[in-house]
Amino acid sequence: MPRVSIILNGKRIETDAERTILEVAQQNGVDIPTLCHDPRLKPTAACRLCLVEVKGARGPMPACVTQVADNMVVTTNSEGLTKSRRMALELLLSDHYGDCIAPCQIACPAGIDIQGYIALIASGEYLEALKLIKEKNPLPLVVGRVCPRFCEKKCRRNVLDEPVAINCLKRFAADTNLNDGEIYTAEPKPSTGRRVAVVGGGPAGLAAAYYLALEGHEITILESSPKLGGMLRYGIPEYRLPKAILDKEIAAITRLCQEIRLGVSLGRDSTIESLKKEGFEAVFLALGAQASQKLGVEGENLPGVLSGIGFLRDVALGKALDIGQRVAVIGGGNTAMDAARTALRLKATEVTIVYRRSREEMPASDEEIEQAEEEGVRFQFLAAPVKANAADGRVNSLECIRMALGPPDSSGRRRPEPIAGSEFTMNVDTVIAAIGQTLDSSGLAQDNTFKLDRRGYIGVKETTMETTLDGVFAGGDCTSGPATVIEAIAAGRRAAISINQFINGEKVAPSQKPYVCTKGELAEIDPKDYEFKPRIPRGKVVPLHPEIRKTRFDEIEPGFTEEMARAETERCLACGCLDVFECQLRDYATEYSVNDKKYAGRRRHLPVKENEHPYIVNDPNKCILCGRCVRICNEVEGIGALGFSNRGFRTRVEPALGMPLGETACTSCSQCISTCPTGALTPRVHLPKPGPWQPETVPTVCPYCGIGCNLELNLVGDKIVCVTSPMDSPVNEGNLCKKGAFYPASLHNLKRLSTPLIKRENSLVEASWEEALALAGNGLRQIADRAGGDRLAVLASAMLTNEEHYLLQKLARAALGTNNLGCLAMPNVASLLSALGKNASTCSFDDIPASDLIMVYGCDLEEDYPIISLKVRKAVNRGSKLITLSPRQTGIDSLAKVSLKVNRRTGVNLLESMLSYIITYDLADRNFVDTRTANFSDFAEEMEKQSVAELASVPWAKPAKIVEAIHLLVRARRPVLIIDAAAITPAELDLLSNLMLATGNVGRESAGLILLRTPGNAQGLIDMGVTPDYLPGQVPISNRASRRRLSVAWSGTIPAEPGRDTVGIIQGIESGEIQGILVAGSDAAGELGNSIFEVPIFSVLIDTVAPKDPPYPDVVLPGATFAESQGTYTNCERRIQRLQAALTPPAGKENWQILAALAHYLGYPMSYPTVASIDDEIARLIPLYQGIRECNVGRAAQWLFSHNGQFDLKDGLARFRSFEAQQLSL
Amino acid sequence: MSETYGKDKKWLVRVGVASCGLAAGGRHVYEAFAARLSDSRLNAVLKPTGCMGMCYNEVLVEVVSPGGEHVFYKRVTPDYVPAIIEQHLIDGQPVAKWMIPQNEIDSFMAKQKRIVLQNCGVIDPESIDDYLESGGYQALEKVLRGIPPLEVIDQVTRSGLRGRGGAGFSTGTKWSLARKSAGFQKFVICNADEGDPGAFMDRSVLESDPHSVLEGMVIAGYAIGATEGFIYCRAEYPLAIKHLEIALAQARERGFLGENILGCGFDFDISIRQGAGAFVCGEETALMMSIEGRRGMPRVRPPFPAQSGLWGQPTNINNVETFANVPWIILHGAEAYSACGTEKSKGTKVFALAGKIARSGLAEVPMGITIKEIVFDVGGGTSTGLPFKAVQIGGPSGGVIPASLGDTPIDYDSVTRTGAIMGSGGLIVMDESTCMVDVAKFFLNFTQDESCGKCTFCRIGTMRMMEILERIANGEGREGDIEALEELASNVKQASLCGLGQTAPNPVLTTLKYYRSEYEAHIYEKKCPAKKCRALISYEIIPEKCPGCGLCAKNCPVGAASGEKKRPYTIDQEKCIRCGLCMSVCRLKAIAVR
Repeated sequence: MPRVSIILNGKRIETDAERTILEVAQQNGVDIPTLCHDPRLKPTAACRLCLVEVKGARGPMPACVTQVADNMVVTTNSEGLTKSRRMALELLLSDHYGDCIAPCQIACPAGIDIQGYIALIASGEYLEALKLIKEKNPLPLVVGRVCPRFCEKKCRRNVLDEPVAINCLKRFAADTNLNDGEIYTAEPKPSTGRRVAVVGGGPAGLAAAYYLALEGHEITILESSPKLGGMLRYGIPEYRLPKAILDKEIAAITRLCQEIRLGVSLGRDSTIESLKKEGFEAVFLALGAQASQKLGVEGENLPGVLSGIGFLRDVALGKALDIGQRVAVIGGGNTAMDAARTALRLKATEVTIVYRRSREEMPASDEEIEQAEEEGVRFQFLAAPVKANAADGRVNSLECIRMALGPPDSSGRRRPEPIAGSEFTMNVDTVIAAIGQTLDSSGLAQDNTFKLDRRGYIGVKETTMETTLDGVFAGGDCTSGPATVIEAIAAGRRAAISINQFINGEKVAPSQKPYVCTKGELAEIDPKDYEFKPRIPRGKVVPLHPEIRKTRFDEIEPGFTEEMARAETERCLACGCLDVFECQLRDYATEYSVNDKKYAGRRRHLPVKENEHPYIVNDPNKCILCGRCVRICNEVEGIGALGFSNRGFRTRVEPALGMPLGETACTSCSQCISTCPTGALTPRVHLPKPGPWQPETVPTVCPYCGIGCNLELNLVGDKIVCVTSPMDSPVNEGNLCKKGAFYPASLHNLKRLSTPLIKRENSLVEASWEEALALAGNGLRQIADRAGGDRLAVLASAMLTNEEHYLLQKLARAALGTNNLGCLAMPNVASLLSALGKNASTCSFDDIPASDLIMVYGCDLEEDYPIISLKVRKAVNRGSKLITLSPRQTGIDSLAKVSLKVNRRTGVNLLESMLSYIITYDLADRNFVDTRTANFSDFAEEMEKQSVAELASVPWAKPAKIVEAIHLLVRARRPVLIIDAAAITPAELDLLSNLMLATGNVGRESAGLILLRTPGNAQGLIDMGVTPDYLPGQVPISNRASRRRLSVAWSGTIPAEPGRDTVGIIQGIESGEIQGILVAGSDAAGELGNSIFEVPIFSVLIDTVAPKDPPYPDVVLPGATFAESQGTYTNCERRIQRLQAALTPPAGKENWQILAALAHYLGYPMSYPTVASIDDEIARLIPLYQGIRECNVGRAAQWLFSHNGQFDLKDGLARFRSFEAQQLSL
Repeated sequence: MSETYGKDKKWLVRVGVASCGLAAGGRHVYEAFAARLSDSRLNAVLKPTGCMGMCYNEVLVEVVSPGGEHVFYKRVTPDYVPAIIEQHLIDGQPVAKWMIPQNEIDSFMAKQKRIVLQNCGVIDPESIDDYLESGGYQALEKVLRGIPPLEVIDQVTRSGLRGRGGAGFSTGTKWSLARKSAGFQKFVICNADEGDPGAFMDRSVLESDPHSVLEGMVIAGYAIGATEGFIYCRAEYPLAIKHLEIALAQARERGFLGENILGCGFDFDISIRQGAGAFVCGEETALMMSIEGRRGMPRVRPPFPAQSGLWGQPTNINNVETFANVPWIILHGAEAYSACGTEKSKGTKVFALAGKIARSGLAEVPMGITIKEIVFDVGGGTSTGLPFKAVQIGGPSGGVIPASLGDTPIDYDSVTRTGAIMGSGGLIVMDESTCMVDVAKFFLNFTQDESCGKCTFCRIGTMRMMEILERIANGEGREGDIEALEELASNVKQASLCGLGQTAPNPVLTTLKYYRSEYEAHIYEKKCPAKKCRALISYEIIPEKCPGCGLCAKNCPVGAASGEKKRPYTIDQEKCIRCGLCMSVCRLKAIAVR
């Protein structure tokens, strides 16, 4: 390819011509934003984000379509471009209707991913839910009990009925963890040795300590009280937050800290200065707001007049208090409620709350007020104290005045004004003033550099919690004034992030806030959107009866039961976008700091299509019309299920005539989802709640056909939530079909077997591994000992890994002494071995798009091997010609130059005549057949006996078409023949290999024959020698040297005679010649049916699910699926690819472990500590598989079909398969 | 041609039955003549013909006496027919009261030069013989019999012909690019997807003289080496399509189309593709997608159609008027053509005169004529008598040129300098009663609606601009709206994918350029100076003038006008929907708009 030199952002770059600016920029690490481009698609330049400046061009040029030219000067990042891109994004977002994250999460001061943890709870992933909560809140046990629930007020469910009981769910997750044993804390990073002092052990301090400790810093908490907890301990009464629970939650945090100093006060025992001298690199002040505000009335210093917070603290400290019978509590906040209710519990008989406004204005939560009322607290609204009177040196009455509400004040609440002359007197024994708290700043006085803000609190930069002093941070009530626990926690976490940055010498700055698109406030939501959502009543716990609870301090509210929690999760509307973690639109919106209100105007609002497709959810409100889905469906898949409708602003992506997607030609390949840059197309997750998930991805290989697509299993906890594929995959380039995209997640629907089973009187009963293995091993061994190995047989599933296949045949041959090896899915294996020396594809998938002719024989690629059909489609688009020969119309016929309909009989006929024509008219590749094949002349002689006239006798095919096909093949320079091994007879395969040999198209670069097989590791099964007549490495069993070599290596004698194949084994079972059988596979019974157990011989089954109905095998060992297995698969282009276990097998053992354990009971101990140790043995004993050890994740090795022009036959020459030898075996 | 009839001593009656004539009832007039003329033993020939250009006078009937005197009757109805026949054809006395005065014809025609329209309104568009008689297909014969393709291209290049579709790219250069491109098959496309509101040049040419377009296409095909041609015509032009179909059949029959044309070994055939009326399909890449059977959405150029066009093959696209120029150029020579026009814009341009102009219709004028000349000399000034305010030139993609720039010569570069574009030839005249915000809103509404939806700026940007204009017109304009409009406009112009988006802001930008004060009046004073925007005006009765006749109250659809008989009436502003009906019915002009 010619090279050009361009200047990209001032840097000269040499690159291939015929590349776009976007491609060159990406290769050189220059990021150009684009929303409509996907490397799999032709560029279209629709989104207008990739515009760049090209010197000399009339205007900005789209980088995705503009090809580089020599000496082109390109700028990708000017101010003008940034503005234009920002405008493009703002325009797109002005018509983007959706919630990036749910309103509950936005409302939460700590920003907890509420929708995420509810979804996890819904799926039973309680610990995962707690982990997610603890990312933002280290005190869920506490907060789950006392949170004022900002989230619930914004819950979209308010539009429908009542909000989701979010906080109860949080408490449920935390309580479940508590009951399971040790409280979960995240794993701290390795120690940094850097020290941080946290002054104040309340929620802000604890949160900061937790998150700093996780960063590996050494944390010292200084607390003036005897115990940690701050207001949690000394402000919240026991009946709302039991101290035992608090202690446990605090202990989980202090476990991570270096030192806790209790009873030490700032100012008295240390100063900020002294702490710094002590070696603390940063100090976090979380002093709280513990000083009570004064009533400001005469007599407030009398004995018997207490502060609310002081009173609660004394109670918490266990001090004996005499409050008498009649108590007046002044104030309307939660502290007032707490004080009143605590007073009740201290046996006061008459507790009255005096509040200067009316009930509506009370700041205390409704729940608290209601509960206080239930317990018998009285309320004196619209009244304020004016004087406390004393008798005997203690308060005995309180003079109050009635108030009236005037106009609203600055807080928006109506200002109470006294009504002159309305004074009245209450007789009281105790007055508790709970009208507010403030910072006690006396401790800071020593540090004379420290300045407080106007309100008397510590002034901080709100985004970073920095004070004016270097290295000193502050948060919680001491900076904000009295607030909620969750706000304090949020502040503590924010400070921890800043402190970490400070310590690491980074710039202290808030992390960029991701862009959030929202549908608006509750009032802006159209209730119609939720019309069809089921009404479900909010889950309610039953608190202790007021009469009981008012007498004691027991926790009054129980938590949700598991059942209630699961039911409550169903109520969540999952408002947040499922694509939030991957959305490119959101990423760019964040990067370009857009203002989505700038161009607010008409906005689409369409129904979400949740149920129009079994696998796909379409939210047209989030579509940005990039057209990627339309194009991938059309260009790559050739389906065209999606298209554009309407014009102008009303343009939409939808199937023709607005048909539901599920009723179109859609094949559920998931490609549209994979390419959609936003949340407009998302997988329909078959879990109780759809997410969003931030999954862990495990790369592995698809087991559902022999193509071996590279998958990424997206895991949340122990659930596969969806499947993606890496774009750089050499096999499938990020493309998937329905099977790969959607089947793995359905593994969870299987009723998995988790313990071994043994047969007792016609039913299966659970057994221990030892018992079952011993029974299986002994049973098989006894037959071998008694009747000989040839009375035993082994059937394998082609879904097992190479390692498992290897062990299985080794076990059969060396331990059981049998070559009776069959395969469940491939009873009849057509083989290329004797013709070409190896039974596998002779070329690679990569040769398909590069070919100039593709011949597809006998398979419906679109139906059975969709990913191969994509490659064929690509090849045809590039100019390759296509010939299809199949019994039925197939999806790619429309692309074909010649399309012939043949069945098995006419197929043989047709192929013969093609060969005959080639030989008769001397069209064979003379050079090739002379140098690379052994028996062309014999074969030619034989073929000449066939008359060309037979051409015409082939039914349903015009001779002219056949001749055209022959000429296309003869003229092609890089032809590829694609065959489905499952649908071909040995006779056809022989003829096809003859055809390719005669035209000289086997065993050379970029041409050849591709043999597709249906089961995932069918090629591996063949290569590993799970065959009656071949040893591992496709070596004939008759090869004495190999047999001897393996016998030595395996310390066992390999039977010399070929064994029975699958059909032979089944016949043997029926005739009684086979007396014992071992069946190994994943859903093995499903593949073959359990009819093989009908004849009562001794049978052992390794399987993932239990057989449903009798007849039962004698022993069932619970096996593993591909998602639980390590090892390798070999795909149909001989590519050895590594699987990774994403999940743990339910019964704890992978299949190779089961086989190794079974071998022990067969008296043939195998010692394989790891899969790698099996690979070592394979690499040593099987030359083809020398590369297996290098096949790590993301790397694959392909074994070579032929070396240096030599076929793997004794003289290196390929053989034409004699026509007579295989004459119509039909 | 009229001479032929004159010599034969026959009367000739031409009736205009192009769309403009038909709409005015031309078919009935034609039939009335047909009935009468066959009945009588008059020595007269009746001919249907296309558009003569004076559409405002349709149904237009031309009577040519055996002596060769031409008389034009305007706005003829079937009722006139007996009188015309008896008085004029029999008695030899033209009916003066229905005639178009000679001075009107003279002033309409004086500044015109008819090349494209030479046969329009003269020949019978359904008759190839008429076309042949007027010199048709002689250019094709000349080319096929002796001019090599490269020389044809050279002639077209030297003529200075530029694409009449709007962009004004040199036709010769375009042909030469297509000629040079390699491909196994080449195509010629005639873009007859005329979609600008108020433009009907191409329709008239296709209806009135279809063969001239076909001839131009065959010559283009010969020049670039194409063998197949398509005419992409909107389905809303049924008469044009009908005439094209007839013309195609006739041309094939006579050997001007199909295999071995005129026995010269050149094969070329043309088929018609009907478009469904998407404006964007006038954009060449979208047009080609539409011909290919896909949704018409523009793509990025390069590659240009000349390199990779229809089905990836080299393709030459020109519009109707461009092709119609070609035969004339070949016959009369490049020099004759380039003698007409300005230095960089040669030849003539057909304009469709519409809006508030006295003589709406088609005019073909030499390049370089000024706007004022077209409006006043050819067009006869405004139809309302109010002062001429501006013209919108170039359709929705063009812009407004104010009366103050009336001396701007019409050529590609001068027009572009004003901020408008030459466009395909729509010329909408506005008088002082036109609100410029309303004009901008009208055109933007059109482009917004016709955007293909592919690229962000055009799809959403134009909508947001529209919303701002709506706001301003509704009296809800606010500080910063003009700047927001300008910012959006410049980005939409720069960053849109195709011509539709790139030119969509032009009406806004030009009205802002020349009439910013009108926008400001809407926004800050909440006033519409032209008294057009309903939200900003009120109808009031001037008590001194109102005799209390009650006509306004009788006609008011919402009962806003009321009063006592013989005393001044009043209008309830709360109820009034500002339809203006009262004002139009008031005989004493007692109602004012404020």
